[in-house]
Amino acid sequence: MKWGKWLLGSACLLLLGLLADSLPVPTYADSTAGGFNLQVTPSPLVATVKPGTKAQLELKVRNGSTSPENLKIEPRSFSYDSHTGKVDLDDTAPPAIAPWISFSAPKFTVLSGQWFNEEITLNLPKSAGFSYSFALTISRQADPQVTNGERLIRGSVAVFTLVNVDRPGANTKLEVTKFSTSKHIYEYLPTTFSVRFRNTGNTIAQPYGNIFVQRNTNSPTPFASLAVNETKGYILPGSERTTTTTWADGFPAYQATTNADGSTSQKLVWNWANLSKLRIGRYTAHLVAVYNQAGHDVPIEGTVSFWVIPWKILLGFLVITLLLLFAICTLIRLVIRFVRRKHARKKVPQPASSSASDDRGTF
Amino acid sequence: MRLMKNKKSLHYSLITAAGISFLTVFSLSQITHAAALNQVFVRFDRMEISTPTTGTVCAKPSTSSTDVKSWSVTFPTGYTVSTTAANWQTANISTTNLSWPSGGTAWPNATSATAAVSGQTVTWTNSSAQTMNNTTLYCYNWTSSSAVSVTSSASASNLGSVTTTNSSSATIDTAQYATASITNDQITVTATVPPAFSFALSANTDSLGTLSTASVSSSPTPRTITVNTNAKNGWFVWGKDSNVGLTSATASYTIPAETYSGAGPTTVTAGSEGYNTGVTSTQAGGSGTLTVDPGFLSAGAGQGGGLTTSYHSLATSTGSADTAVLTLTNNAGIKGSTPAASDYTDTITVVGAGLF
Repeated sequence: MKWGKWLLGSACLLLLGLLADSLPVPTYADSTAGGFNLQVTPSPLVATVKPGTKAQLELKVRNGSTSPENLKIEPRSFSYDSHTGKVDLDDTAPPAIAPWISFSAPKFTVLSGQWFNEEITLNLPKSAGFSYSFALTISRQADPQVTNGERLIRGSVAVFTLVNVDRPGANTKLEVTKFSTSKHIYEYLPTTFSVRFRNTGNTIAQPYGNIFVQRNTNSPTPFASLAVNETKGYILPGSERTTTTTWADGFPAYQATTNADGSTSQKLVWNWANLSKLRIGRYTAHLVAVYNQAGHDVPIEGTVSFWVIPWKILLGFLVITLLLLFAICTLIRLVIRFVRRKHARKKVPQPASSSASDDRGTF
Repeated sequence: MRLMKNKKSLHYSLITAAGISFLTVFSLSQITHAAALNQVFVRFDRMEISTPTTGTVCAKPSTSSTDVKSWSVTFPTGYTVSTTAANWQTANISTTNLSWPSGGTAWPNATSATAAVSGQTVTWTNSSAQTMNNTTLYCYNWTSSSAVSVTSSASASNLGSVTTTNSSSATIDTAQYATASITNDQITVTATVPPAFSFALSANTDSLGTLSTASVSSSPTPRTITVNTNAKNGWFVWGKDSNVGLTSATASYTIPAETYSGAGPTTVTAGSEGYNTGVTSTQAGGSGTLTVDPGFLSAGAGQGGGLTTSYHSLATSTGSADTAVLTLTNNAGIKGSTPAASDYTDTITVVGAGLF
């Protein structure tokens, strides 16, 4: 009986095994015929690592297309142009750091709608430099087939990766090379401030701070405290970057509006609730930006002055004032004339007594 | 005659009055000057409003003295100064050089002096008089973040002072310092929404069909790149072409790509050999301004730019994007002598990335 059960069980297992073998192995065909749709996060990838130790960064990749994607990840170098602010992507591996980068899966498959976690290991030797910046490009492992006369369009996503190395000699240093307004004289707000930072250190820096808009440098309370580098931009060593900040809190003020065709234009908005914010005269903007150096804030300052002259409003006031003054003066003149006449009338001798006197004379 | 005179003088008066009132409006300006703290330096390690901070005090006396009995630091109005003396003395004071200004030397007896707090002022007293000379910059750090917190309002100038006194409690030297308080000094990622970048290419092939000398062949269904991102610093899309033109292996011939001109697009015309890629853009929302590189901007039939084997920026944006769409239209033209072949092809690579 026992042997019978054992034999039956073995037969069932054998049958199941044979069935399993005959089932198709799940293979993922490329979605090359369809589109290419990837989402990556975080972007950019930023880290501070210690040399001589392994650091792991995580990059998540989502396949947004309807088919599985067979992908690969590769480091690529890029350069940043301080003058134009443009980034030029290169098709070569970043020479300095490439040997120290490894991936948990250099080639990987992501099913439709799924996320894949790629672990990037940075194994920097003690002799590593102070900072590295490169791009990680994610693209298909193989190109789709094209027929004669067709053009192939390859899609790819790059993730900028910024690495600071926490080692002796690392020096964060920023300078403000230019702090200016877009114009010297404005009729109405907004005023646009440009702050140009230069990274003279050897690490990647991220400044922050405020622009205090005041009547003058010593004013105790600013009209506005505006954030500097609100977009949290990074500045690579040896490069410059301009951040802009806008002061729009005035009456009236231009506001950007989107037209029906998608273009934008400036429209003067008269929000009477902001009447007390009529800006007029000379203003001083005091920049206080800070960057972190060895755990403490290092301030960098700058000052710029500008004028707000709402000349049309002033001209209107002037005309009204002149008209009022003219009206008042005319009124005063009329009153004076009236009083004088009255006074003069009082002084003129009465005709009756005059004739009496004449009578007396002739008498 | 007299009436005329009165009228004239009245007009002159009015003009003068108006002129004075006009000028008065602009007389609000004052001469600005920058604070100079050569002799006294108080550095707060954190400048963010309402933030506890450690810091450094440095001073170079203007008068040398062998009788420095005590010194005091007055913190700016609004700064919360701990009244607990222990937060200000011995273990919570150090003379380690923490990025001191050049020439900074340990403040004599700083770690042994006893502290007393009164209002905004902390006074340190030496058990015996110390010597400080006017050629040395003396520094020390307060290392307890429980000692002081930055004021709750952002300001470009918060004033305080440092004073040294002798055994007779007479002031030896005093000077003011200024510091700023800002709304945020460190960019910490605490958001639950991480920065993400999404890039979608509508299809991977583009067929131009049969080229003709009679007309320019353009993409029948232009492919689109759709970008969605919360990257506040903007994003880029680059493109490159493996063949710098349409190449036929059988004819061993390449219809060359137009030469890129940064000033504006090139135009492929019927009857002439040429090949380019034109880009147009739309955006549903987002903070960024989307700009197509002028050399690739397609404003009319056959317009675009020639791609090379190196990546070239096709479009950039200054901020986030909600359904930003770049439409890629390829244009090709041939001349009568262009070799016949059915395998003219090339490979264009487009890459998108969120900026740092």
